[in-house]
Amino acid sequence: MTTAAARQVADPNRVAEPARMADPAGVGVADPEPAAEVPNAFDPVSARQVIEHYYDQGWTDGLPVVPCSESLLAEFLAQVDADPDETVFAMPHLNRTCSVRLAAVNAAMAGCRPEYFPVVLAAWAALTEEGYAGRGIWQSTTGNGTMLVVNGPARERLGINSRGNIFGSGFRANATIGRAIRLTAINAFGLRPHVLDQATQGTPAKYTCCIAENEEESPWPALPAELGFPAGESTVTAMMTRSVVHIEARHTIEADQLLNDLANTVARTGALVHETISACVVLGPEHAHLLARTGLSKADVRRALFGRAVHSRASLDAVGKGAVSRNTRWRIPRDHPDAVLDGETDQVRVLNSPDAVLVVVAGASNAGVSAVAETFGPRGGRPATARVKDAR
Amino acid sequence: MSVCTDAFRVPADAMARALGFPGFEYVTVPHPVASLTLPEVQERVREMMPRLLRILGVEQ
Repeated sequence: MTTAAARQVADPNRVAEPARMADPAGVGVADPEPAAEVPNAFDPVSARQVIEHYYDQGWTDGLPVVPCSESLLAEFLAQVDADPDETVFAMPHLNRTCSVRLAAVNAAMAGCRPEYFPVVLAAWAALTEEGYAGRGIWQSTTGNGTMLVVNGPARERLGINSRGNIFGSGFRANATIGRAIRLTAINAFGLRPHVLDQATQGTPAKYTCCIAENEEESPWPALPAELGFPAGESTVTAMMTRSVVHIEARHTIEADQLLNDLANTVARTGALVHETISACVVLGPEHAHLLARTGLSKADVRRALFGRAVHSRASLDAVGKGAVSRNTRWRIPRDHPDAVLDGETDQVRVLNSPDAVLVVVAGASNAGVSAVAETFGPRGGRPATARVKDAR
Repeated sequence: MSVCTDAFRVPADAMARALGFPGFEYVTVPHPVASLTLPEVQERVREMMPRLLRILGVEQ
């Protein structure tokens, strides 16, 4: 299919044969509402041709994309006070940049509504601040994807889910905002699997990973408040993640036991490729309240995990990670020619500082379940958080 | 001079194109390297040296 033909069938004003949409939920005639909403001008043959055209161009993540017309692009650009040619993200080692316009096209293709676009731009600003995504970790054999955490009124306004199945499917804003980042990585930066994306296995986060903090059911100040953002502002915090590991602790009523369970998960040896690690601990509200009842703040939890994320030298030796390379500081067996010990003690900390752990509260108040997102980036310091700037 | 294992030939060529050097020459060695013993690494180096020197323009 030619580009001209694609433009033709993408014309939203084209009149076609009346048609009914296929029913993806299996509801059929039992529910007349969906069919009643289908416009007469809808042409499923043309729609399929356009979707196939995007596939033919390699402009997808494997899932169908939404065709983006110039008029749809204009709706996205109207949502932000930004020059369409302004650079939102750069990968200097690839000699490539992404403009506001390109970010908007990909957000539209990802299925975002135009009003999500300020959140997408904030995500790019946060990823720029994070630093690692632009330097190649996104292409690594480790297989990282981006993870976004949204805070503030944008969650309610846009319907960004913070309360149950946060890492799962079912919410347009979560699904498409995260996907907008990945589609841009593919289309603007060329990070296609088997080519510039060298992931050995990758992660489902390479499709999408965007959660929101459950501020309403958290016992603690929300992330932006911790960072000094004024009340009422929405923010996006960005990080690179490889795995989201869950913690089942439904019957635990002692904070000490829960902290040990969390610390053991943060410190699991499989995550140790470098000397130290970093993590985003996503506490379910039940776990957050259990910890808060004993007087712990988020900062206390970070300090507690820093103190407990420790291995004995013998346990690291047992998995061939009892030393580090004198050149790369990657973990290697003690008998490797490049091996040096990381410290003299038999107790090995795997976190550099309490700030290597970010703590957020998200999920439903229905079970003692939490998660650790294993992150690849700065191991300490201020989280990469950017303000959502809506058009004035 | 760039050296990588043969598992990375496609990304390496893509990087060269992205940076404006299509056809950039580099040396590949059989994959993997990370899990080799020191003698095996030394053997890999001995085996690749002629190709490395050729790319550098060293007459042998």
